[in-house]
Amino acid sequence: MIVFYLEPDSGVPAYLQLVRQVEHAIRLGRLSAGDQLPSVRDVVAVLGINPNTVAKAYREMESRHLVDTRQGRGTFVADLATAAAGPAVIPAGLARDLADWITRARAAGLDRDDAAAVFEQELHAAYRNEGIA
Amino acid sequence: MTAMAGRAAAERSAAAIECSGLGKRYGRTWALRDCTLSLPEGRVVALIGPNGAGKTTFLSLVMGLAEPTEGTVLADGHPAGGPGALARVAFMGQDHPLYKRFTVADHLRMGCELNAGFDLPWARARLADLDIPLRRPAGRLSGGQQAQVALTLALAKRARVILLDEPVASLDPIARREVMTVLMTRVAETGATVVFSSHVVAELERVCDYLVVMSRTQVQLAGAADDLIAAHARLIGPGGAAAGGEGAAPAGVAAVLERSVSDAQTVLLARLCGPVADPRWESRSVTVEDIALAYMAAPGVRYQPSPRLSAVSGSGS
Amino acid sequence: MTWLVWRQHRLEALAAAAVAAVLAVVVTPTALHLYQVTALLRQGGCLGGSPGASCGTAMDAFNATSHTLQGIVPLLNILPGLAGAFIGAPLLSREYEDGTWRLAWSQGVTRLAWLRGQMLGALAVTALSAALFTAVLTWWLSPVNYVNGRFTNNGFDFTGIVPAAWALLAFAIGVLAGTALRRVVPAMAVTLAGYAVIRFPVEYLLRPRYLPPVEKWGLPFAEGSGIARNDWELGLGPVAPGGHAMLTGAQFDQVEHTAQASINRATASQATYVAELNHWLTAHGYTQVATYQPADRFWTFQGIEAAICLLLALAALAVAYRLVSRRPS
Repeated sequence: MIVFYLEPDSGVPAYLQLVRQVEHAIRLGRLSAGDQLPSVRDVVAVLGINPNTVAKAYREMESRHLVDTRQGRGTFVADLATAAAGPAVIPAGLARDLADWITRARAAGLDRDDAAAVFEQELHAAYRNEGIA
Repeated sequence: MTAMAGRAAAERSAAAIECSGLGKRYGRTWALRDCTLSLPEGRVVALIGPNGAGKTTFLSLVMGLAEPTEGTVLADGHPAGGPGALARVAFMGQDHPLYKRFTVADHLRMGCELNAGFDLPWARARLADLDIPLRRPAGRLSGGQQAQVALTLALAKRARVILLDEPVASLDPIARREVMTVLMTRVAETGATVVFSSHVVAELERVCDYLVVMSRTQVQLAGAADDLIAAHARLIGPGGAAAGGEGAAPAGVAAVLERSVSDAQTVLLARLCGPVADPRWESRSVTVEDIALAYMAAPGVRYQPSPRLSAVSGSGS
Repeated sequence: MTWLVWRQHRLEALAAAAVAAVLAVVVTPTALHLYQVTALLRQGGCLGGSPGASCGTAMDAFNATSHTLQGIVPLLNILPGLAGAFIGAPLLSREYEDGTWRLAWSQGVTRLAWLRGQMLGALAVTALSAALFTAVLTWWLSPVNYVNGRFTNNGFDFTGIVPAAWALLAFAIGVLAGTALRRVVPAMAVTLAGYAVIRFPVEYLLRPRYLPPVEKWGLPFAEGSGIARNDWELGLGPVAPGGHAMLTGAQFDQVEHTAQASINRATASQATYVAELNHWLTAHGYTQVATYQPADRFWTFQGIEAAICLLLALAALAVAYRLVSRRPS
């Protein structure tokens, strides 16, 4: 069973952190179809966070088809989740392109933080109309 | 998952606490004025504000510990302080008062004697988990343990509405975390509405999903955390003369709460009334803490979308 | 609620019982001595009209003890005040001082139901403590009351229903003071002061006047008052012709001086002198009056005083009740 954690200073809303942890675990194969997720109460008892946040995270996972909620039994990783977990297969060329870009940035004299700032800004501009990225 | 189902149903929004024109005066001094609020069921509401803002008075009025000077207040649909409300509302006072000479077990017995639905097995299990000895007089417990006992008493009442006045103010960080975890777990189990007051905003995001900010005896801001986050943003734009002078803000801004200007750039914390399309301005999301602090620093700015909406639409469902 | 009230006030109840027990132990030797002496007085017929030969020593023994008691027993009048200070005053002020009122009033019973339970419970503790003390003191003092009558202050104060009534009044004063002041120690002090302020005027000014005293007229210069041993004598003295007020000592000395002019003091024996003086005084219209409350009014007076205390107590509790229901904060 997955064990959730929170990074308070990450700037990512708590519910989204939970969603991403499940996504990540599915991607890495740590969770597979049919695995049960802890109940809202059990997550709350460990993390000490608002149960509505956990419920919201589970609803979000449901709407992304990561999990199924079976009435009275609990929440389980959906059958298709492994396949449907977003762009689970990242096109190989993407990472290579980014690596090239980073090499060029370094050559141009940007340090790590400079590069991150440029990347963040572009990311933000590109996704700005899609809510919290 | 039943609590989740209950929670989803609750979000259709009967009001856990409904007050209208509520005011309280002690002698010639108003402690709370013109308070019209409708707090939806199943939420964890943070009541934030500096000392003296009226938080304790508000909670006392909802519990029926004080009589309103004007206006009305309903708790779970029942007039505050009446038998109906007393059975449905639980309260933990500031500094979590207990009878010093009573043992912990005596307090539990008192809970059973005075409350029809008192959940004794749960309370016992809770205190056993926390290693709090039942036979020790409350006066000889540590501050954190006293808070846990007082909280256990309030939560074991199986109330629909749980009011907590500064539940963690006097506690160290570990006890704080423990108290909030017990509280949140109980909320997950029972689906109760929680209203807790605090004069600090740290860790608000973890626990609250509804925010009420009070200042100078009045409600300044009230709304669901998600709605407030969606309605506010930190805007970063051009600085100095390019910003268009003092008071300038891009279209889409309803009110500016914070402004810092330099030659290079201007940073605003603003409430929005529409999308900020101006490409010179970058919009970043804010947290509940950011919003609470911004409003506390600008006591003149008010924003209270929910009660007016519900007043217009009647039941608000 | 009953359990809660008992749990909150059992310490006071047990303390009262312990003090009563200690008091019982302390007074036992005196009590046994007094019972013995009184038995002798009774056997010798010393209290009737014709005292026997052995009465002198028995009476001396009785008086010696009883005089000591006269000094000590009135101090016990503080007991009702202490009940008020230790049971009544903290009842609400401790809740306010410790902040526990917020705990108590956020339970599933209404504030007024809680208040009624607290008041009735603490009243019961007070009444039972008072009954216990009254039992001990009545037993202790009954030989003295047998001889001096129980209508004396010491008899009246520690017999029957009056002690409990005072305890309830002091309790009510305590509750009111505690509600108004919200601090334990000041409330206790105010309770003791309030008790004293009511107690002294009632005992010394009102009590003799619950019913108009009976007057007994007699010879102006008689040796005794002529009223019974158990009656409560309020006043005794000569009265001028046609008047109603008693003469003061100085006035009577003057009258006696005038009378002496017509009596040959030198030749007359004491008995003759008194007879002639009485004759002269009667002839000139002087009389003597004894005012008293007859012994058979004892329970009437107990009832009246208890009623006064209970009415005042009810009023104080009603004000306290109203304060709690109307002035929460």
